[in-house]
Amino acid sequence: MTPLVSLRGVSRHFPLPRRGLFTRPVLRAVQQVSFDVAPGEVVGLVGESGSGKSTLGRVALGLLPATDGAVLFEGQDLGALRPAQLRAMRRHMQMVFQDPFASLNPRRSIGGAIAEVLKLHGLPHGETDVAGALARVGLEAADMKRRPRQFSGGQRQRIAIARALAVRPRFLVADEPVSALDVSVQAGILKLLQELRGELGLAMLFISHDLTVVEAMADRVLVLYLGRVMEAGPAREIFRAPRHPYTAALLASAPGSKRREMLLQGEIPSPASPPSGCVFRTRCPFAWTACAEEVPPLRSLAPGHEKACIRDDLAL
Amino acid sequence: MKLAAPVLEVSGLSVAFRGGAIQAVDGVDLSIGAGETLAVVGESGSGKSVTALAVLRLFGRDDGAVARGRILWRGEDLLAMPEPVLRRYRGREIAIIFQDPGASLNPVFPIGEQIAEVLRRHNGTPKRQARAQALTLLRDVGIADPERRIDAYPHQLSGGMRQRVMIAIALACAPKLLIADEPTTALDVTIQAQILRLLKALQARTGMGLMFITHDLELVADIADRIAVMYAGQVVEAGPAAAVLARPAHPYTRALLDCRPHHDAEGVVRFAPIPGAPPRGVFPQGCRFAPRCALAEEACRAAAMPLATAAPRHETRCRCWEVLA
Repeated sequence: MTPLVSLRGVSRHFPLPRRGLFTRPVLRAVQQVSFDVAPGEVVGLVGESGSGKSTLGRVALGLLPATDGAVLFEGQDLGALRPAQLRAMRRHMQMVFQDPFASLNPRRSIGGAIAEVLKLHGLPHGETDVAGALARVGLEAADMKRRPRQFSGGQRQRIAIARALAVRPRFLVADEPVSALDVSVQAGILKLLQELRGELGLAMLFISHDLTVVEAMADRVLVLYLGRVMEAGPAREIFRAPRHPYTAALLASAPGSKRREMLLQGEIPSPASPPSGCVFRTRCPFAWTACAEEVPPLRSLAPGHEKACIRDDLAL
Repeated sequence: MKLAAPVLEVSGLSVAFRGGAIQAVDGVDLSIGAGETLAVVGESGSGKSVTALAVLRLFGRDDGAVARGRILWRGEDLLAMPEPVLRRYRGREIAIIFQDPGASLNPVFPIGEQIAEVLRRHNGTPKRQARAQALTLLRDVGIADPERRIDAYPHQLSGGMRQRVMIAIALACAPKLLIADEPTTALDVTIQAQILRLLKALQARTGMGLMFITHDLELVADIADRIAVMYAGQVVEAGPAAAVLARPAHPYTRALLDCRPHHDAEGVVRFAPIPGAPPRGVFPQGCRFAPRCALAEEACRAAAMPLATAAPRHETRCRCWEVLA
């Protein structure tokens, strides 16, 4: 099957303030990342803060241009499109953010917010259309006239989802969509996303620091560290039998984990000055001197499962 | 099971705001023994943080908070104490850390000075000695390279390191009880695991009691001796941590466990939302969870639900708890 979204060797760098006359440091937020999202597939993106998850999500939508590499949507290179073409493409690719409080205009009725998006993309935007979008997320037509502050956090996230899905996108980037919500509310939003995925055949890039949630939602998982993919594979394999030390350490750190304890020392280094060779080596309990020498390439372990680690002798 | 005499004993604690218009905490009983960890678990609005603040009476002047009941600290009622007397207990005997360490640290002073300040104020430690102790404390809470970090400003540190600094400040006067209000919620899982391990190690060394407030039931499995689950201002279940997690005796606890993704017997990942939303400020008559409870009967709604004993030292505010087992 041709992928819906395809990232090929994508990097995204941010320039940092100049230091001295000749040095212009850059922050390497995303480095050489490649992956595909098939139609209807959910790809989970995990990693600590500073791993580049959110940057990668924005690059995948063309909201941030890639510094290097290409992002293809149905085979079309987003970087080669003219602004008007890119805007037209946006209808098919939408985003839901962590904070529904910040992503909704407080002075605008929620019906107005949804109608605006429909209108922007040249779609019918009457009351029945808006009511339909709200009904999809379990809200009533009567809610249309109300302002964001009249809703709870969970309801606001439903509104944000309704707005994103009103234009019938085929690809949704959900960046920590439940992290700001209470556990009992989280489950409702996750169920909703699962149902909508089935109903609309939606493909998703699901970004979360919560591994348990990613396991429940994703078909495939990408583990990021300092902007690089450490391990990628089917969710089942990644969670049951991680092959990269970083994946194993993340899983062991999750609350209530029954995995053998593997506490990581220290914190994630700054992406402005990543370690040489394997970027994870400074915190890896299994690092060899060879790990400092070159960046380990992603190697295939099984169909669709790869890791960037030179050690194969580890029982994780 | 530790059955040491409690160092902190809260009984019949009620807290209302705005002259009683908003009831946040309603008749809460809790106790913590020396060296014991009590996890207080609940969602936002359950009253768990207000309970913690009430122990040290850390309410703002404009909150209009009215607290009733008793908070016995080694036999003395903190709630009845005049403010200047209570101030001697704050920080020195009972310390508190919060979710956002960035907001609790003063941005214009180096962290070493902020720790030393606490030592000077509470213990009258001379300046030079206070700095030496601050250095030791930074080392104790696992700050790498403390000689260099001691002169750093809060913004130069990561969130995890700032929380370590807050813990160092809290521990400066060797408190007998540490109240930790969602101390790891803003941190990455890897850093969260480090902070939890640190708290456990410090507790083993100092024998302090720990009141750990969180919304995350999974998290407490790793640290708590006992769990108190709060809902709508009340403790709805309290008991030994292992028993509460393995055999919850209240439908709300059961529902909280079920709404996190988990594997069923066939290995399929499942999770179930709790219908409805928790009541806020004004509570329904009878069992407060009844409107959302699948087991609720007419009798549940009739009168206020008392605590029932499900097992020794394991209580539940549910009359149908046997059905859950």
